[in-house]
Amino acid sequence: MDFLNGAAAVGRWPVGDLSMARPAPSVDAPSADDLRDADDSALVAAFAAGRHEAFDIIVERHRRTVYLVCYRFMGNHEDASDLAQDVFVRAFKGLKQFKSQAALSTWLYRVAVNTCLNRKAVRRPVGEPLEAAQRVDDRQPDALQTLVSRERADRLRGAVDQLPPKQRATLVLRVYQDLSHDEIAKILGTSVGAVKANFFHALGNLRRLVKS
Amino acid sequence: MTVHLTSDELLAAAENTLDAGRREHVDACEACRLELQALKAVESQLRAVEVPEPSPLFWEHFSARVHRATLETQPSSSGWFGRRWLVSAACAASVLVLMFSLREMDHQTPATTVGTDALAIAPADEDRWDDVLQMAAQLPADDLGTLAVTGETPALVDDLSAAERVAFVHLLAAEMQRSQ
Repeated sequence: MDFLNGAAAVGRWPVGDLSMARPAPSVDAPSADDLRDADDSALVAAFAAGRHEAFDIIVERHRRTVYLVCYRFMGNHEDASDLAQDVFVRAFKGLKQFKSQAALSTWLYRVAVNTCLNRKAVRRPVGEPLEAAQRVDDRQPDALQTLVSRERADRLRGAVDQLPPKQRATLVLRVYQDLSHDEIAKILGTSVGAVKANFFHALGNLRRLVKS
Repeated sequence: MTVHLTSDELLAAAENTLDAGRREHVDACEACRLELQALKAVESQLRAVEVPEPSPLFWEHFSARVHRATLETQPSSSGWFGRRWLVSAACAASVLVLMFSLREMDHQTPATTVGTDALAIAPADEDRWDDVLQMAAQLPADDLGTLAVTGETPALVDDLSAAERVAFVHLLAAEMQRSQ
């Protein structure tokens, strides 16, 4: 009867919500506090070794960044929150296949961008087409002043939504995450030259939208 | 007349990484200067769009939500942990079944009871018994409510004899297999 042997697995799972007893950790096993101080690669290694509580720490460490990326893509808290959760669930499923050559943050960015782009592809934003948005602002006397208003901010978000996926992703990562062209190239799996071209075209397209 | 800035050079100028020689061109060329200013203006307008910062409470709930969601993704291990409610219910049911079984045994004649030798607790069963006790102690209050109806509590299991413990382990195993 193996059914009770599963009790041994209790120690592999975070106690948090489960209130399950855990066997005393072995002498060599790092404590939860040690994991908290560990760097990302050590957390990944701990997770691969069955220390699933390491993933909780990864979430805690990267949740804000992932959420912000999702917010920049989705433009509202509810969707960003749901998507950020989705990103971490995907990361949880794929983390054991994660190769440590890249930084965990780079990999998480990639998962986040892909998740956001997939969601966007399924649910296109409700907004004006590029050309229509271009015509509206011509009568504004002070475009720059208006742009800082909420209405213009929403409009700018709408304009970003109209960009092709790679331009949008590049823009979000460059402007809002302050990542280098090189980092963005790694995240998007493309060349630095392509990143620069996408960024330039993205700014050009947006410039046409907000031109007064 | 020098060549106007390329897109790469315009980006480099916007990021203050343009070569000194080409910077001189920007200073001298109004078209490139205007192009650069427009580029910088769009970027600064984008940066001005802020994201409302979620509350600390949101982050706590978020982590808990992710934790629960990842638990649900566990394929095989969820047989034990993910379906904890099922395990708990099975345990509670087993204890209930055992109680009735033991009461029935009390009313049977000695000839029909199982011999003590047959029920002698083996070392392996002792280990399982420890697991059972640990498990019973962790049953949620709701599940234990079933037992509380009779006025008995998990302390009941402490009072079982060795033979009864073996019977209980076997009953629990059968119940677990049925519930999977």
